[in-house]
Amino acid sequence: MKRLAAGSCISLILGVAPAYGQAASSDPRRVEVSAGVEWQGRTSFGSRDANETTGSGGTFRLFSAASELTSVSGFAVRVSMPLIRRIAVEATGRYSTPDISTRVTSDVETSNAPITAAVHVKQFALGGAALWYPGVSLFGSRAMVFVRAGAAFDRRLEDDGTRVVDGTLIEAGGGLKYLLGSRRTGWWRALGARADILALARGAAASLDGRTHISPALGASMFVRF
Amino acid sequence: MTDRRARAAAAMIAALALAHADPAHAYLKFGVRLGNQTVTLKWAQVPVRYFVSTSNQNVPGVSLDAFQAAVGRAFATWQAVPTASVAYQFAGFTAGLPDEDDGMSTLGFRNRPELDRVLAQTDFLFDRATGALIESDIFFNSAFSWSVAEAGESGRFDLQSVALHEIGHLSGLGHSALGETEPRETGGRRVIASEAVMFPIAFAAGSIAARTLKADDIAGISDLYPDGDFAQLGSISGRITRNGQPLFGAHVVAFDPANGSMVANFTLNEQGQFSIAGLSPGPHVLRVEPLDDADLDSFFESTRSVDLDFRVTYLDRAVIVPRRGDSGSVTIEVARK
Repeated sequence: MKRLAAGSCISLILGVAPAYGQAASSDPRRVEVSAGVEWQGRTSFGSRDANETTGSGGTFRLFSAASELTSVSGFAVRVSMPLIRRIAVEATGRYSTPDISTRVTSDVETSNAPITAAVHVKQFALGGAALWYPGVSLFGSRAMVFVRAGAAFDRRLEDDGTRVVDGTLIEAGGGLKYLLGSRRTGWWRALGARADILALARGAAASLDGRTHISPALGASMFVRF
Repeated sequence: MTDRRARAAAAMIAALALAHADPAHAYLKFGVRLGNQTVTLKWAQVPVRYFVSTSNQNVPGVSLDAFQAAVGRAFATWQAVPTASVAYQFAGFTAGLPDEDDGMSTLGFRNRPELDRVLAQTDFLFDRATGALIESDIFFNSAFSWSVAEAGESGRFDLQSVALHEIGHLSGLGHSALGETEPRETGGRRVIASEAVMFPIAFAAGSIAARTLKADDIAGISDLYPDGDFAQLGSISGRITRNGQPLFGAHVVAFDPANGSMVANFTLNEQGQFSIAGLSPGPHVLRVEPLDDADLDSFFESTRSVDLDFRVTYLDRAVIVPRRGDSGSVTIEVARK
């Protein structure tokens, strides 16, 4: 029964959409705002052993530790404006609250390990991106494929701001915009859903091991075109 | 002036190191209790001028020049710490012996076969009122075999390594407990590994592994003589309890997962409080362990009761070290073994 109700609802939304002859994102006069959720995959910072030095100059492992920025679902807001035919520019804001987590294993002196020592962080990113619509449309021109690349200023507040870490976030990927409805008059002109699949590269400054790390991200949002 | 002076040997001075009533110190520094106050022993003026004794230099394999060069390399290693301002200056040779109150800090050999477990010893002359070091002598026990070879020599103790440890004492540092040992069948303990030059037990003869300062040593000397970017670093403070009651003498290790370094300190007062300074900003893992890898009197005066009846324990959350600040107090509850 519930499945039937849900299906009916979607049909209703799709049903109000008039025929949409124009490409979903090719109108150069329209500003578009989207808001939704974004899942970011874990970022592994690798493993470090707590080593002591032996008399021969070798190492003796007291314990091992593997650290990561945990996967997290957060929010993403984007404001885009078509620039020229098939190309748009976009301002992006992100907010999420992952953990920095260190898992300790193999302590030579205790069976109390493994343990996981984590700390909560707040993560903000503000940046810009360029979108290119290669002209691939799906679902009878309701959906447009796009390719996206951008960069952002990435700020992390660790443990409620005890420490502030700033870095850069480079993103690349693509997605799909699906037009749910449009009209020729009124304060909004089009509504739609958007899906993004991205690779996020966090710069060395924001990592624990001084290296750049790439993690996947998936986004789902609704957009309004004005 | 003379009546304000006091002399103490390193082994005994280390016992005095617990005397810090104020836990807001990093690392284990030498301190002396003067009435209700504790003063930290350190040099008020640098460079610290030192002499090399020409007496008792008939040690096989160690010429006077080679001795002076080896201790010079050890002094240079401490002086090269970029976050510390301590400096040393070779002032010349002297016929005087270490352990003489002559106003000269002297390094040299003495034959002390009765000290069958003491490779070397540092003693001090300091101002009782201020804790300022006036003189500090180091003797190396010529009852043992010594080497100044660059690659070390089997069966001989590396003079540079032992000098590096003793110069840490000469500068005001106590012992570190960052090391693992096991009992010898013949008595005493054998070092399996350590991560501090200031660990109180030396590696076996032939080893040159202790010529390099570790993060714990660097934090300690920088805390005593801060310079450069040391002010950019942060600290973790807190207390250790068992059944809610504070523990004295618990060894607390701060592990930095970013670089694998370890810096440690002890709970140093009746409230079970500790403070570890000289830490890089960022998340750290805290590990608490009983002080069971060396004799307790290497760290604390024998009259103090150090509780060893608890299990190695990790804090179940990471602690963020801020830049130029303290983490805020953390409490770690440990359980009996």
